[in-house]
Amino acid sequence: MSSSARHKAETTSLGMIPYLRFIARRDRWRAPAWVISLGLLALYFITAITLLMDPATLQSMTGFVRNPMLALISGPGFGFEAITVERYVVGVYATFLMIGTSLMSHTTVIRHTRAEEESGHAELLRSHVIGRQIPLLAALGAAAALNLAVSLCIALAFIGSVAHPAAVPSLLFGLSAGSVGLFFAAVGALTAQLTTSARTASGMAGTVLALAFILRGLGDMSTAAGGPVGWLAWLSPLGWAQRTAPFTDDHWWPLLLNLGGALVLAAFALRIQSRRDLGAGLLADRPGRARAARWLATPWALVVRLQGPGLSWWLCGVLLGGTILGSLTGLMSQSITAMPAQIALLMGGPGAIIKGYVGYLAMFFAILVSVYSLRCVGALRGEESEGRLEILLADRMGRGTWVSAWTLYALVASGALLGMAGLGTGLGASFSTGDPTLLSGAALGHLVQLPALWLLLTVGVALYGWVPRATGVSWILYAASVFLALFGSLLGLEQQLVDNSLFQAIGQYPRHSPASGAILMFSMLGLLLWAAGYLGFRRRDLKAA
Amino acid sequence: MSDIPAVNLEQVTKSFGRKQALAGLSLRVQPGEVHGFLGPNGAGKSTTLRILLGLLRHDAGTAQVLGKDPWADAVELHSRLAYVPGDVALWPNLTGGEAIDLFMRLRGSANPARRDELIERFDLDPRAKARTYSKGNRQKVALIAALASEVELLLLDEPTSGLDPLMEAQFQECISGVRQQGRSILLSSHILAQVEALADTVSIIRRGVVVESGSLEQLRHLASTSISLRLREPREVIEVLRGTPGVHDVHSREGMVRFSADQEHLPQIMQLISDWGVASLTATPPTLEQLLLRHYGEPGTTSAERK
Repeated sequence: MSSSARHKAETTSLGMIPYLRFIARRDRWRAPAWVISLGLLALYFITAITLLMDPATLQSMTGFVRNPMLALISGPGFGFEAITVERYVVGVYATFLMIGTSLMSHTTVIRHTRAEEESGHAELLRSHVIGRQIPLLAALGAAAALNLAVSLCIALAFIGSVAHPAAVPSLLFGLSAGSVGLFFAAVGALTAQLTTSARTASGMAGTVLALAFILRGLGDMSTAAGGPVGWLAWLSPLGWAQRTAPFTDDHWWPLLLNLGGALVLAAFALRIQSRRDLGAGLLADRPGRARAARWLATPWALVVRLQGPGLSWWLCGVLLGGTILGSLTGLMSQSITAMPAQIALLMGGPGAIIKGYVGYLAMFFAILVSVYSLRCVGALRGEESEGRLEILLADRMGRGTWVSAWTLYALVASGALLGMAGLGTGLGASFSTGDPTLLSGAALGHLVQLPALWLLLTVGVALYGWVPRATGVSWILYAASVFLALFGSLLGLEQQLVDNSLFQAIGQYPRHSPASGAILMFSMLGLLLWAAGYLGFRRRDLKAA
Repeated sequence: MSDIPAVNLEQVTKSFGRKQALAGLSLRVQPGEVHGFLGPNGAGKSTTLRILLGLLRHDAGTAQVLGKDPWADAVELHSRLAYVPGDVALWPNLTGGEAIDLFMRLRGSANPARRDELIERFDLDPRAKARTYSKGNRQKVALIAALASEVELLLLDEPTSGLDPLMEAQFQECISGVRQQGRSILLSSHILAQVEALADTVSIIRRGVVVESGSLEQLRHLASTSISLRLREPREVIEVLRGTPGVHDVHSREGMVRFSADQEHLPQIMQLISDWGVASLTATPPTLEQLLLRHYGEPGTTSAERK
C-alpha cells in the first residue's frame, strides 16, 4: 500500500463527477433523512413556541431565558429585552440545530473517506482513474451541499410556519446552522487524516464539537452573569454562528468566520491527503498488547473488552449532561410561574416543579440511554454480519451464551448509564436547590426506567434471534415511544395513548410513584423476549459474511 | 486412535431458499488422515465445512463429526476441533496476540509455549492492531490459534490463500507435524501442489456432490496417462492406435506421436507399441490439475453454484 512517487497531476479533477454520484447513490436515504429531520425540528421549535406562548407569557419568560445557566446551554440570546417568538427560538434552540448539522457533516465526510480506506474499498476505487484527493473533495462537496440544503430547509420551515417571520433573517438563521455544519465537515476531513480508524476519527471530531460547545457555553454564561471570560465564546464556531443574531442584529459577516475556518481546515486536510499513503494516518498506530489480559477468556469478557471503551465515554457524557441539566432545577422552580401552562404541567406544574423536573430528566435520560442499549443489539448483529462470529462459534462457545452475554451486558451497561445520569442530575439538583434528598430521588427516578430499556433491547434481541435482518425494527418502537413521550401531551393526544410509550408507562419518579405493574410487566416480557431470541438464535443458520 | 471416522457425511443436502447448495453429498475422513477437499468456487466446500461446524443445519442425510452430531453437540465437539476460515475477520481494535489468546482460551486447550513458537515461525507481530493486518496476517492469527490447540480434527478452509510461498512452506511443515501426531485434517484448498504434498486422500466436489473420492493413486487410475513416443522408422500407426480400445486424442507432429491411454488398457497398449521399434517413450501420470479439469471443465460449471 505504499505510495509511489508523488505526481503533480494528483489534484486532477478526474473522477469527481462519478464519485459525487457514487456518494449520492450510497446516501440516497441517509442524506434526505438528515435534511428532513433537521428541517422538521426547526419547524417544530417555531410552531410549538408560537402556539404555546402568547405575548404576555413570552414577556414573562425573559427572566428565564436571560439566566446564566440557560446561556450555558443555549447561547448568548440577542434581543431578549424586546422578545419575540423568533428571537426566543433563535436564542434558545439554535444550538440544537447547530449540533445536528455538525454531527451530520463530520460523519458524512468520514464515512466517505476514512471509513472507505479502513474497509479497503478505497484501494479498489483509487486503482481506477481517480485523483488522489477526489474522495475527500467529493465528500466535502457533498457535505457542503447537505448543509446548504439544511439551511434552506430551516429557512423554509421558518417562513412557512404559523409565526410568519421575515424571510431574510430566516435565511440567515438557516445559514448560520449550515455554516457550523460546514466547519465540522472540515474538522471531519482533518481528523480523518490523523487516525487510521474511522471510529476514532469520528470520536475526535465529536470531541472538537464538545470543546466548541463548552467554550461557547462558558463564555456566554460569563457574559450573562457579568463575568470576565465572555471572549471564550469567540473561540467557538458555535459562538461565531450565533453572533449572526438573526431577527435582532442580522449580521452576515460571522458566517465568513466559519466559512474561512472551514476552508483553512479543508486545505490543511487536502494537503495531508495528497502526501500520505493510502490507509495510513498522521498519528501512527501504537502497538498494543502481545498477550490478552488474563480476564479476557469468556464471551462475557469479550463483550466488555469490545464495548467498554465506548461505554466509559458515555458514562462521562451522561454524568456531565445530568449535572448541567440538574443544576437548572433551582432556576426552573423560580421561573415556573412564567412558563406556559402546558410546559409547566409537563413537569408537574407550579406546585411540584422540583420533583417534576427531576422526574422529567429521568425520562429524558431514559430516552437518551436507550440509544446505547439499541446500539448494543446492533453491535451483536454486526459481529455476525461482519463475519467475526463464525470463528468464535467454531470455538467451544455456545450460541445461547453469546446472545446472553450481549443481552446482559446491554442491561448492565444501560443500568450503569441511567445510574450515572441520575447521579449527575441528583448532584446538580441538590446543589441548585439545597435539598440533599434530591440525590437519592434522582438516582432512583432514573433507575426505575430501566425495565423500559430492558424491554426495548430484548425486542431487538428476539428479532435478532429469528430474523436478524429485522433487528433494526426495534428502532421504530423506540421512535414511536419517544414521539409519544415528548410530544404526545403537547399535541393534545389522549393520555391513554401517551401512556403506551415505554418512557411514560413507568412514571416519572420522584413526581409519580413508579407504576409497579408496568415495571413487573416490562421485566417479565423482556425475559420472555430474551428467551425467544435465545431459542431462535440456537436454531437458525448463521448468516454468511 | 479409535475407528470412528473424523468426518462422516452421507447424502447430505442443504438449500438456501430455492438454491440447492449440497445435493446429497457424501464424505468420509478417516482418523489420522489428511483429506484434501477440492472443487470449483461455489461448489459447496464452505457450506460443507459450516455444516461440520454446526454453523448451518443440514436439511437431510446424516452428518457426524468425531461420531457426534455437529449441530446438537456443537459446543462439546468444538473443544476437540479447530477451524480456520478462508477469510478471517477480526476485531479492528484488538491486537493479533489478544485474538489468538481469546480463541485458544475459548477452545479450552491452550498450549502457550506452542503459541509463542508458532508466532515466531509465522513471523507475526502480535502487538499490532488487527485493523492494520493484511489478509495473510489475519489468516495467520486463525492458523496459529488452531495449530496451537491440541485437538483431534482440524477443519481448514483455504487456510493459506493469503500467505506467501515462504509461509506456505511453514504451513506445510506444520501440517506434516500434525499428521504425524495422528490428528485428522480436512483441507479445502485451491493450491493443488499443497494438496498433492499433504493429502492422503482427496475428494472432488462439484455442484454440491462429491464426484470423485479416493487416494491420489486411485484417482490417477481413473484418469488416463499421457504417452508420447518417437519411432525409429516412420510407420503408419495413427489409424492403428485410433482403432485400439483405451486410446484417445491421438495426434502426431514432427515424428512425435502423442495420445492418452486409459489405465486399465495400459498393458495391452504397451504390448502393441513394443513391436514398432520405439526410439523414445515418455509416459506421464495425470496431474491433479488434469484430474480436476476433467470435472471442472464440463459444461454448466458456471451456472448458479454459490455458497
